[in-house]
Amino acid sequence: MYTFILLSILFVLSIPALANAWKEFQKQKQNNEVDKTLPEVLIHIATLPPSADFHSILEEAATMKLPAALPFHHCKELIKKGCPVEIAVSTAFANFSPVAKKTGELLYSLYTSGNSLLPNLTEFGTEMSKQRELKESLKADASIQKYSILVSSAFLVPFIIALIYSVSSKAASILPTSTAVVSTEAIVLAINIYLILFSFISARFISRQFSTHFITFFSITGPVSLLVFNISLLLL
Amino acid sequence: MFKNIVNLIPPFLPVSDKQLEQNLKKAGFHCSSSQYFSACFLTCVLSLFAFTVILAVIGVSLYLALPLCIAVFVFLYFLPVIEAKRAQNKIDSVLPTCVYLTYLEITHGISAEKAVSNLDSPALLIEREKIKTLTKRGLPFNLVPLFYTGPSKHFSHFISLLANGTPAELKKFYYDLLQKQGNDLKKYAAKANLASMFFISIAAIIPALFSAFILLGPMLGFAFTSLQILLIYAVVFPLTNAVFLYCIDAFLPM
Repeated sequence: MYTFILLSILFVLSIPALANAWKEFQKQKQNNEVDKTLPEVLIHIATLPPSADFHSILEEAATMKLPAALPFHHCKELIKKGCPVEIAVSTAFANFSPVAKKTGELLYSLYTSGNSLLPNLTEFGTEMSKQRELKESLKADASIQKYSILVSSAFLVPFIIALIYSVSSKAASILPTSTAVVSTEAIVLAINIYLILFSFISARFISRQFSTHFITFFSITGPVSLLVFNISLLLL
Repeated sequence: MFKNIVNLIPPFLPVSDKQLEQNLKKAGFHCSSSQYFSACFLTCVLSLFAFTVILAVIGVSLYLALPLCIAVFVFLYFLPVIEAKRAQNKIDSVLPTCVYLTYLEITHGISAEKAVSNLDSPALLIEREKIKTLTKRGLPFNLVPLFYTGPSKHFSHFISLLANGTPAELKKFYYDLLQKQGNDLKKYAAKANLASMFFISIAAIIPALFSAFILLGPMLGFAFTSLQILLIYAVVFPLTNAVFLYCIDAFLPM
Protein backbone atom coordinates (compact mmCIF):
# COMPACT_ATOMS: atom_id res chain seq x y z
CA MET A 1 0.00 0.00 0.00
CA TYR A 2 2.71 2.48 1.08
CA THR A 3 4.73 1.57 -2.03
CA PHE A 4 1.73 2.45 -4.18
CA ILE A 5 1.33 5.79 -2.33
CA LEU A 6 5.07 6.57 -2.71
CA LEU A 7 5.00 5.72 -6.40
CA SER A 8 1.85 7.77 -7.03
CA ILE A 9 3.32 10.83 -5.27
CA LEU A 10 6.58 10.54 -7.19
CA PHE A 11 4.83 10.12 -10.54
CA VAL A 12 2.52 13.08 -9.96
CA LEU A 13 5.49 15.24 -8.92
CA SER A 14 7.58 14.10 -11.85
CA ILE A 15 5.13 15.19 -14.58
CA PRO A 16 5.90 18.98 -14.43
CA ALA A 17 9.58 18.18 -13.85
CA LEU A 18 9.64 16.00 -16.96
CA ALA A 19 7.95 18.73 -19.02
CA ASN A 20 10.60 21.16 -17.79
CA ALA A 21 13.33 18.60 -18.52
CA TRP A 22 12.12 18.32 -22.12
CA LYS A 23 12.22 22.12 -22.54
CA GLU A 24 15.71 22.26 -21.02
CA PHE A 25 16.89 19.43 -23.26
CA GLN A 26 15.62 21.23 -26.38
CA LYS A 27 17.34 24.46 -25.37
CA GLN A 28 20.62 22.69 -24.61
CA LYS A 29 20.42 20.88 -27.95
CA GLN A 30 19.96 24.19 -29.76
CA ASN A 31 22.86 25.78 -27.84
CA ASN A 32 25.10 22.83 -28.70
CA GLU A 33 24.23 23.12 -32.39
CA VAL A 34 24.92 26.86 -32.34
CA ASP A 35 28.28 26.30 -30.58
CA LYS A 36 29.24 23.54 -32.99
CA THR A 37 28.64 25.59 -36.14
CA LEU A 38 29.76 28.98 -34.78
CA PRO A 39 33.45 28.60 -35.83
CA GLU A 40 32.29 27.92 -39.39
CA VAL A 41 30.26 31.15 -39.48
CA LEU A 42 33.12 33.16 -37.95
CA ILE A 43 35.68 31.79 -40.40
CA HIS A 44 33.27 32.60 -43.24
CA ILE A 45 32.84 36.19 -42.00
CA ALA A 46 36.60 36.59 -41.74
CA THR A 47 37.00 35.80 -45.44
CA LEU A 48 34.93 38.87 -46.39
CA PRO A 49 36.84 41.87 -47.81
CA PRO A 50 37.96 44.42 -45.17
CA SER A 51 35.81 47.02 -46.96
CA ALA A 52 32.60 45.14 -46.02
CA ASP A 53 30.52 47.14 -43.56
CA PHE A 54 29.01 45.78 -40.33
CA HIS A 55 25.49 45.38 -41.77
CA SER A 56 26.65 43.42 -44.80
CA ILE A 57 28.73 41.16 -42.51
CA LEU A 58 25.61 40.55 -40.42
CA GLU A 59 23.56 39.92 -43.55
CA GLU A 60 26.14 37.42 -44.82
CA ALA A 61 26.22 35.51 -41.50
CA ALA A 62 22.42 35.53 -41.16
CA THR A 63 21.86 33.99 -44.59
CA MET A 64 24.13 30.98 -43.88
CA LYS A 65 22.11 27.77 -43.56
CA LEU A 66 23.60 26.77 -40.20
CA PRO A 67 22.14 26.77 -36.65
CA ALA A 68 24.76 29.36 -35.64
CA ALA A 69 23.22 31.82 -38.11
CA LEU A 70 20.16 32.09 -35.82
CA PRO A 71 21.50 34.75 -33.38
CA PHE A 72 22.93 36.74 -36.33
CA HIS A 73 19.51 36.62 -38.00
CA HIS A 74 17.82 37.69 -34.78
CA CYS A 75 20.31 40.56 -34.41
CA LYS A 76 19.68 41.68 -38.01
CA GLU A 77 15.90 41.70 -37.42
CA LEU A 78 16.28 43.74 -34.22
CA ILE A 79 18.42 46.35 -35.99
CA LYS A 80 15.86 46.51 -38.82
CA LYS A 81 13.18 47.28 -36.22
CA GLY A 82 15.25 50.25 -35.07
CA CYS A 83 16.96 48.77 -32.03
CA PRO A 84 20.43 50.29 -31.25
CA VAL A 85 23.29 47.98 -32.38
CA GLU A 86 24.72 47.41 -28.87
CA ILE A 87 21.34 46.31 -27.45
CA ALA A 88 20.49 44.27 -30.55
CA VAL A 89 23.78 42.34 -30.37
CA SER A 90 23.54 41.67 -26.61
CA THR A 91 19.85 40.64 -26.84
CA ALA A 92 20.33 38.37 -29.84
CA PHE A 93 23.24 36.45 -28.28
CA ALA A 94 21.97 36.53 -24.66
CA ASN A 95 20.13 33.19 -24.73
CA PHE A 96 23.09 31.17 -25.98
CA SER A 97 26.32 29.73 -24.53
CA PRO A 98 29.15 31.92 -23.06
CA VAL A 99 31.17 31.42 -26.27
CA ALA A 100 28.25 32.70 -28.34
CA LYS A 101 27.91 35.67 -25.97
CA LYS A 102 31.61 36.45 -26.40
CA THR A 103 31.11 36.24 -30.16
CA GLY A 104 28.38 38.86 -29.76
CA GLU A 105 30.81 41.10 -27.84
CA LEU A 106 33.45 40.58 -30.52
CA LEU A 107 30.89 41.43 -33.18
CA TYR A 108 30.05 44.66 -31.39
CA SER A 109 33.78 45.51 -31.19
CA LEU A 110 33.84 44.89 -34.93
CA TYR A 111 31.12 47.51 -35.28
CA THR A 112 32.87 50.08 -33.08
CA SER A 113 36.43 49.48 -34.34
CA GLY A 114 35.52 49.53 -38.03
CA ASN A 115 36.51 46.00 -39.01
CA SER A 116 40.03 46.08 -37.52
CA LEU A 117 39.10 42.86 -35.70
CA LEU A 118 38.05 40.99 -38.84
CA PRO A 119 41.25 38.90 -39.19
CA ASN A 120 40.97 37.96 -35.51
CA LEU A 121 37.67 36.23 -36.14
CA THR A 122 39.40 33.41 -38.07
CA GLU A 123 41.74 32.82 -35.14
CA PHE A 124 38.88 33.08 -32.65
CA GLY A 125 36.79 30.60 -34.65
CA THR A 126 39.67 28.11 -34.93
CA GLU A 127 40.55 28.33 -31.23
CA MET A 128 36.93 27.94 -30.18
CA SER A 129 36.57 24.88 -32.39
CA LYS A 130 39.78 23.42 -30.81
CA GLN A 131 38.42 24.02 -27.33
CA ARG A 132 35.11 22.55 -28.32
CA GLU A 133 36.79 19.37 -29.55
CA LEU A 134 38.64 19.07 -26.24
CA LYS A 135 35.48 19.67 -24.22
CA GLU A 136 33.53 17.18 -26.30
CA SER A 137 36.07 14.44 -25.66
CA LEU A 138 36.01 15.34 -21.94
CA LYS A 139 32.21 15.20 -22.02
CA ALA A 140 32.27 11.85 -23.82
CA ASP A 141 34.48 10.35 -21.11
CA ALA A 142 32.44 11.93 -18.35
CA SER A 143 29.22 10.75 -19.99
CA ILE A 144 30.20 7.08 -19.67
CA GLN A 145 30.66 7.59 -15.95
CA LYS A 146 27.52 9.69 -15.49
CA TYR A 147 25.26 7.46 -17.57
CA SER A 148 26.53 4.35 -15.78
CA ILE A 149 25.55 6.01 -12.47
CA LEU A 150 22.21 7.11 -13.94
CA VAL A 151 21.42 3.63 -15.28
CA SER A 152 22.59 1.97 -12.08
CA SER A 153 20.44 4.22 -9.89
CA ALA A 154 17.36 3.62 -12.03
CA PHE A 155 17.74 -0.08 -12.91
CA LEU A 156 20.83 -1.92 -11.68
CA VAL A 157 20.81 -1.03 -7.96
CA PRO A 158 17.06 -1.68 -7.41
CA PHE A 159 17.26 -4.92 -9.40
CA ILE A 160 20.30 -6.29 -7.49
CA ILE A 161 18.73 -5.38 -4.14
CA ALA A 162 15.39 -6.98 -5.15
CA LEU A 163 17.16 -10.12 -6.39
CA ILE A 164 19.22 -10.68 -3.25
CA TYR A 165 16.30 -9.72 -1.01
CA SER A 166 13.87 -12.17 -2.62
CA VAL A 167 16.42 -15.02 -2.66
CA SER A 168 17.23 -14.53 1.02
CA SER A 169 13.57 -14.09 2.02
CA LYS A 170 12.77 -17.41 0.30
CA ALA A 171 15.73 -19.05 2.07
CA ALA A 172 14.58 -17.60 5.39
CA SER A 173 11.03 -18.95 4.91
CA ILE A 174 12.27 -22.46 4.02
CA LEU A 175 14.69 -22.86 6.92
CA PRO A 176 12.85 -24.05 10.01
CA THR A 177 15.07 -22.30 12.54
CA SER A 178 14.42 -18.84 11.17
CA THR A 179 12.16 -16.72 13.31
CA ALA A 180 10.91 -13.56 11.71
CA VAL A 181 11.93 -10.85 14.16
CA VAL A 182 11.31 -7.99 11.75
CA SER A 183 8.34 -7.83 9.43
CA THR A 184 9.31 -8.01 5.77
CA GLU A 185 7.15 -4.91 5.19
CA ALA A 186 9.53 -2.84 7.33
CA ILE A 187 12.53 -4.00 5.30
CA VAL A 188 10.79 -3.30 1.97
CA LEU A 189 9.77 0.16 3.17
CA ALA A 190 13.36 0.90 4.31
CA ILE A 191 14.71 -0.24 0.92
CA ASN A 192 12.13 1.93 -0.90
CA ILE A 193 13.25 4.95 1.12
CA TYR A 194 16.90 4.12 0.43
CA LEU A 195 16.21 3.91 -3.32
CA ILE A 196 14.54 7.34 -3.34
CA LEU A 197 17.46 8.87 -1.41
CA PHE A 198 20.00 7.11 -3.61
CA SER A 199 18.27 8.44 -6.76
CA PHE A 200 18.27 11.91 -5.21
CA ILE A 201 22.03 11.81 -4.40
CA SER A 202 23.04 10.44 -7.80
CA ALA A 203 20.76 12.96 -9.56
CA ARG A 204 22.51 15.81 -7.74
CA PHE A 205 25.91 14.44 -8.76
CA ILE A 206 24.97 13.89 -12.40
CA SER A 207 23.19 17.25 -12.75
CA ARG A 208 26.33 19.14 -11.68
CA GLN A 209 28.33 17.51 -14.45
CA PHE A 210 25.65 18.05 -17.10
CA SER A 211 24.78 21.59 -15.91
CA THR A 212 21.12 20.59 -15.64
CA HIS A 213 18.78 20.94 -12.68
CA PHE A 214 18.87 17.80 -10.52
CA ILE A 215 15.06 17.58 -10.42
CA THR A 216 15.23 16.68 -14.12
CA PHE A 217 17.22 13.52 -13.39
CA PHE A 218 15.49 12.78 -10.10
CA SER A 219 12.05 12.90 -11.75
CA ILE A 220 13.21 10.06 -13.99
CA THR A 221 15.40 7.92 -11.72
CA GLY A 222 13.23 8.17 -8.56
CA PRO A 223 9.97 6.64 -9.87
CA VAL A 224 11.78 4.24 -12.24
CA SER A 225 13.96 2.79 -9.45
CA LEU A 226 10.90 2.22 -7.24
CA LEU A 227 9.05 0.61 -10.14
CA VAL A 228 11.98 -1.67 -11.00
CA PHE A 229 12.41 -2.72 -7.36
CA ASN A 230 8.74 -3.47 -6.72
CA ILE A 231 8.13 -5.20 -10.05
CA SER A 232 11.28 -7.31 -9.55
CA LEU A 233 10.02 -8.28 -6.09
CA LEU A 234 6.72 -9.43 -7.59
CA LEU A 235 8.38 -11.39 -10.39
CA LEU A 236 11.29 -13.01 -8.57
CA MET B 1 27.42 25.93 5.93
CA PHE B 2 30.42 24.69 7.93
CA LYS B 3 32.38 27.69 6.54
CA ASN B 4 30.01 30.06 8.35
CA ILE B 5 29.96 28.03 11.56
CA VAL B 6 33.79 28.01 11.78
CA ASN B 7 33.87 31.82 11.91
CA LEU B 8 31.62 31.85 14.97
CA ILE B 9 33.92 29.65 17.07
CA PRO B 10 36.80 31.25 19.02
CA PRO B 11 40.25 29.63 18.52
CA PHE B 12 40.66 27.86 21.88
CA LEU B 13 43.14 25.23 20.61
CA PRO B 14 46.61 26.71 19.87
CA VAL B 15 47.38 24.59 16.77
CA SER B 16 49.47 25.96 13.91
CA ASP B 17 49.51 23.94 10.67
CA LYS B 18 50.95 25.71 7.61
CA GLN B 19 49.61 23.18 5.10
CA LEU B 20 46.12 23.38 6.60
CA GLU B 21 46.34 27.18 6.64
CA GLN B 22 47.15 27.18 2.90
CA ASN B 23 44.31 24.80 2.09
CA LEU B 24 41.88 26.87 4.17
CA LYS B 25 42.82 29.96 2.21
CA LYS B 26 42.42 28.17 -1.13
CA ALA B 27 39.08 26.66 -0.09
CA GLY B 28 37.70 30.07 0.89
CA PHE B 29 37.57 29.52 4.68
CA HIS B 30 38.29 32.89 6.27
CA CYS B 31 39.87 31.54 9.45
CA SER B 32 43.20 30.45 10.96
CA SER B 33 44.26 26.82 11.37
CA SER B 34 43.82 27.20 15.13
CA GLN B 35 40.21 28.39 14.70
CA TYR B 36 39.48 25.58 12.23
CA PHE B 37 40.95 22.95 14.57
CA SER B 38 38.85 24.32 17.44
CA ALA B 39 35.71 24.11 15.28
CA CYS B 40 36.58 20.51 14.28
CA PHE B 41 37.15 19.56 17.92
CA LEU B 42 33.88 21.14 19.05
CA THR B 43 31.94 19.48 16.22
CA CYS B 44 33.46 16.12 17.17
CA VAL B 45 32.47 16.52 20.82
CA LEU B 46 28.93 17.47 19.78
CA SER B 47 28.74 14.59 17.28
CA LEU B 48 29.98 12.14 19.97
CA PHE B 49 27.15 13.31 22.20
CA ALA B 50 24.61 13.10 19.34
CA PHE B 51 25.78 9.64 18.25
CA THR B 52 25.61 8.35 21.85
CA VAL B 53 22.01 9.55 22.19
CA ILE B 54 20.99 8.12 18.78
CA LEU B 55 22.67 4.76 19.45
CA ALA B 56 21.06 4.56 22.90
CA VAL B 57 17.63 5.25 21.40
CA ILE B 58 17.94 2.61 18.67
CA GLY B 59 19.58 0.12 21.07
CA VAL B 60 23.01 -0.35 19.46
CA SER B 61 26.34 -0.66 21.34
CA LEU B 62 27.47 2.78 22.51
CA TYR B 63 31.12 1.94 21.65
CA LEU B 64 30.16 2.57 18.01
CA ALA B 65 29.90 6.29 18.78
CA LEU B 66 33.69 6.62 19.05
CA PRO B 67 34.63 5.37 15.53
CA LEU B 68 31.76 7.44 14.11
CA CYS B 69 33.11 10.51 15.87
CA ILE B 70 36.64 9.78 14.53
CA ALA B 71 35.15 9.46 11.01
CA VAL B 72 33.56 12.91 11.41
CA PHE B 73 36.92 14.39 12.52
CA VAL B 74 38.80 12.79 9.59
CA PHE B 75 36.18 14.12 7.14
CA LEU B 76 36.32 17.63 8.63
CA TYR B 77 40.14 17.59 8.67
CA PHE B 78 40.25 16.78 4.95
CA LEU B 79 37.32 19.06 4.05
CA PRO B 80 39.58 22.08 3.21
CA VAL B 81 41.71 19.85 0.94
CA ILE B 82 38.60 18.63 -0.90
CA GLU B 83 37.08 22.13 -1.12
CA ALA B 84 40.39 23.61 -2.37
CA LYS B 85 40.56 20.94 -5.08
CA ARG B 86 36.96 21.61 -6.11
CA ALA B 87 37.61 25.36 -6.36
CA GLN B 88 40.77 24.71 -8.40
CA ASN B 89 38.97 22.37 -10.84
CA LYS B 90 36.16 24.88 -11.25
CA ILE B 91 38.60 27.64 -12.24
CA ASP B 92 40.85 25.45 -14.40
CA SER B 93 37.89 24.20 -16.45
CA VAL B 94 37.07 27.70 -17.77
CA LEU B 95 40.59 29.14 -17.76
CA PRO B 96 41.70 28.37 -21.38
CA THR B 97 38.71 30.23 -22.89
CA CYS B 98 39.24 33.17 -20.52
CA VAL B 99 42.98 33.33 -21.25
CA TYR B 100 42.29 33.37 -24.98
CA LEU B 101 39.60 36.03 -24.78
CA THR B 102 41.84 38.16 -22.54
CA TYR B 103 44.67 37.74 -25.05
CA LEU B 104 42.35 39.07 -27.77
CA GLU B 105 41.39 42.03 -25.62
CA ILE B 106 45.02 42.82 -24.70
CA THR B 107 46.08 42.74 -28.35
CA HIS B 108 43.38 45.32 -29.07
CA GLY B 109 44.65 47.82 -26.59
CA ILE B 110 42.43 47.03 -23.60
CA SER B 111 44.34 47.47 -20.33
CA ALA B 112 45.10 44.45 -18.13
CA GLU B 113 43.00 45.89 -15.33
CA LYS B 114 39.98 46.31 -17.62
CA ALA B 115 40.56 42.81 -19.06
CA VAL B 116 40.35 41.36 -15.52
CA SER B 117 37.10 43.17 -14.84
CA ASN B 118 35.76 41.74 -18.13
CA LEU B 119 36.20 38.16 -16.84
CA ASP B 120 32.52 37.25 -16.57
CA SER B 121 32.65 33.49 -16.15
CA PRO B 122 30.76 32.57 -12.93
CA ALA B 123 33.67 30.32 -11.86
CA LEU B 124 36.04 33.30 -11.80
CA LEU B 125 33.84 35.85 -10.05
CA ILE B 126 35.36 35.33 -6.56
CA GLU B 127 38.92 35.61 -7.91
CA ARG B 128 38.00 38.71 -9.93
CA GLU B 129 36.63 40.36 -6.79
CA LYS B 130 39.83 39.49 -4.88
CA ILE B 131 41.91 41.27 -7.54
CA LYS B 132 39.52 44.22 -7.65
CA THR B 133 39.83 44.60 -3.86
CA LEU B 134 43.62 44.69 -4.15
CA THR B 135 43.57 47.35 -6.88
CA LYS B 136 40.92 49.39 -5.04
CA ARG B 137 43.34 49.65 -2.11
CA GLY B 138 45.66 51.55 -4.43
CA LEU B 139 48.00 48.68 -5.35
CA PRO B 140 49.49 49.07 -8.87
CA PHE B 141 48.31 46.24 -11.12
CA ASN B 142 51.84 44.95 -11.80
CA LEU B 143 52.23 44.28 -8.05
CA VAL B 144 48.91 42.40 -7.73
CA PRO B 145 50.48 38.94 -8.39
CA LEU B 146 52.68 39.41 -5.30
CA PHE B 147 49.67 39.77 -3.01
CA TYR B 148 47.10 37.61 -4.77
CA THR B 149 46.51 34.05 -3.49
CA GLY B 150 43.92 31.77 -5.05
CA PRO B 151 43.04 28.08 -5.33
CA SER B 152 44.44 27.66 -8.84
CA LYS B 153 48.16 28.07 -9.55
CA HIS B 154 47.32 28.38 -13.24
CA PHE B 155 45.06 31.34 -12.56
CA SER B 156 47.81 32.95 -10.43
CA HIS B 157 50.24 32.45 -13.32
CA PHE B 158 47.69 33.99 -15.69
CA ILE B 159 47.41 37.05 -13.45
CA SER B 160 51.19 37.46 -13.26
CA LEU B 161 51.45 37.17 -17.07
CA LEU B 162 48.67 39.72 -17.41
CA ALA B 163 50.45 42.10 -15.07
CA ASN B 164 54.02 41.68 -16.24
CA GLY B 165 54.03 39.51 -19.39
CA THR B 166 53.56 40.09 -23.09
CA PRO B 167 50.55 39.06 -25.26
CA ALA B 168 52.77 36.44 -26.92
CA GLU B 169 53.49 34.87 -23.51
CA LEU B 170 49.78 34.90 -22.78
CA LYS B 171 49.09 33.06 -26.02
CA LYS B 172 51.82 30.51 -25.29
CA PHE B 173 50.30 29.98 -21.85
CA TYR B 174 46.92 29.37 -23.49
CA TYR B 175 48.40 26.61 -25.66
CA ASP B 176 50.15 25.10 -22.61
CA LEU B 177 46.83 25.04 -20.77
CA LEU B 178 45.11 23.33 -23.70
CA GLN B 179 47.84 20.68 -23.79
CA LYS B 180 47.57 20.18 -20.03
CA GLN B 181 43.79 19.75 -20.27
CA GLY B 182 44.30 17.12 -22.97
CA ASN B 183 46.77 15.21 -20.77
CA ASP B 184 44.45 15.41 -17.75
CA LEU B 185 41.71 14.01 -19.91
CA LYS B 186 43.60 10.77 -20.51
CA LYS B 187 44.30 10.33 -16.80
CA TYR B 188 40.69 11.19 -15.98
CA ALA B 189 39.07 8.56 -18.23
CA ALA B 190 40.64 5.60 -16.41
CA LYS B 191 40.04 7.04 -12.93
CA ALA B 192 36.41 7.99 -13.65
CA ASN B 193 35.36 4.55 -14.81
CA LEU B 194 37.00 2.85 -11.83
CA ALA B 195 35.36 5.32 -9.43
CA SER B 196 31.88 4.84 -10.90
CA MET B 197 32.18 1.03 -10.78
CA PHE B 198 33.30 1.24 -7.16
CA PHE B 199 30.42 3.56 -6.35
CA ILE B 200 27.84 1.27 -7.94
CA SER B 201 29.18 -1.70 -5.99
CA ILE B 202 28.97 0.27 -2.73
CA ALA B 203 25.47 1.49 -3.53
CA ALA B 204 24.03 -1.85 -4.66
CA ILE B 205 25.91 -4.75 -3.10
CA ILE B 206 26.20 -3.54 0.50
CA PRO B 207 22.47 -2.69 0.97
CA ALA B 208 21.50 -5.91 -0.83
CA LEU B 209 23.74 -8.07 1.35
CA PHE B 210 22.51 -6.21 4.40
CA SER B 211 18.91 -7.13 3.53
CA ALA B 212 19.99 -10.79 3.33
CA PHE B 213 21.77 -10.40 6.67
CA ILE B 214 18.60 -8.98 8.28
CA LEU B 215 16.50 -11.87 7.00
CA LEU B 216 18.95 -14.66 7.80
CA GLY B 217 20.52 -13.00 10.85
CA PRO B 218 18.07 -14.40 13.46
CA MET B 219 19.46 -17.89 12.74
CA LEU B 220 22.94 -16.68 13.65
CA GLY B 221 21.77 -14.82 16.71
CA PHE B 222 21.62 -11.31 15.18
CA ALA B 223 18.40 -9.39 15.31
CA PHE B 224 17.48 -5.89 14.18
CA THR B 225 14.51 -3.79 15.16
CA SER B 226 12.42 -1.96 12.55
CA LEU B 227 13.84 1.40 13.71
CA GLN B 228 17.43 0.20 13.35
CA ILE B 229 16.74 -1.07 9.83
CA LEU B 230 15.05 2.18 8.85
CA LEU B 231 17.95 4.28 10.21
CA ILE B 232 20.58 2.16 8.46
CA TYR B 233 18.77 2.32 5.10
CA ALA B 234 17.57 5.92 5.35
CA VAL B 235 20.64 7.51 6.98
CA VAL B 236 23.81 5.38 7.04
CA PHE B 237 23.81 4.05 3.47
CA PRO B 238 22.73 7.33 1.77
CA LEU B 239 25.26 9.27 3.86
CA THR B 240 28.05 6.88 2.80
CA ASN B 241 26.99 7.28 -0.83
CA ALA B 242 26.86 11.08 -0.54
CA VAL B 243 30.34 11.33 1.08
CA PHE B 244 31.82 8.99 -1.51
CA LEU B 245 30.31 10.92 -4.44
CA TYR B 246 31.37 14.24 -2.91
CA CYS B 247 34.99 13.02 -2.70
CA ILE B 248 35.21 11.56 -6.22
CA ASP B 249 33.51 14.65 -7.62
CA ALA B 250 36.17 16.89 -6.08
CA PHE B 251 39.12 14.94 -7.44
CA LEU B 252 37.92 14.52 -11.01
CA PRO B 253 38.20 17.44 -13.47
CA MET B 254 34.97 19.21 -14.52
